[in-house]
Amino acid sequence: MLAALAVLGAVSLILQSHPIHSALSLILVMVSLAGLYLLMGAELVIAAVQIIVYGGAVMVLFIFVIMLLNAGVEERTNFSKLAAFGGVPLALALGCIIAAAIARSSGHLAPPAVKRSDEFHPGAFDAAVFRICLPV
Amino acid sequence: MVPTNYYLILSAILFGLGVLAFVFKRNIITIFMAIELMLNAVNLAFVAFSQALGKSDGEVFVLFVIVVAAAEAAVGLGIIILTARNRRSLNVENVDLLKL
Repeated sequence: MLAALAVLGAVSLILQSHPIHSALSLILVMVSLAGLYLLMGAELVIAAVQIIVYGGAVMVLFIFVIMLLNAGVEERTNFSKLAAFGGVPLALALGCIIAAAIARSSGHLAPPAVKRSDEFHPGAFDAAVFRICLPV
Repeated sequence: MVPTNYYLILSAILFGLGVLAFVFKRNIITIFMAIELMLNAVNLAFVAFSQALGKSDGEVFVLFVIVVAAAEAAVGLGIIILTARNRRSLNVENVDLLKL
């Protein structure tokens, strides 16, 4: 559900031609990703930081710049011949190869880890931050 | 519990859409938003692996990625304002030289 919302927002980011609509779609993506983090049972810090930093700070910066520069609808350019004959088939081939690789390798990680290592207790996040920052 | 695969596939889809937007869009601000979308997709993969492996190292990395992305947004938008002032255009096809 939230995943579908995120993909919808990303598609809308591409299809909208006005940058402010793209920015609003990006907010949708970020908020639904924060919801996904909550549902995954990740640390609360991650979802909160995602909302505060991305949904708040970064997007305010984006919208401020869009307003400041009076960004309008982007003009369309014609599709070049090189792109039509060379680029599109190559991009399709690359997409097929990547999809095949994902399809073949899916199943390696299929069972979610039921057993949690005992590192996953309150305070482990802080401990991990300092272990990575200060490798003594 | 949803399998890790689904999160990875969602992450791949979001990253692919970010690459598409990066390649196809002409507006420099929208291209910058595509970069943020790709960073978010990578964050999702980090959190998914962190959950699957039962370690919180991945989430620490997500924290660092978010910090870097916020700083990058501040710097990048400053550069965007400067180029837009100098060239009076937001279209990347008009910004193909470093010097005016």
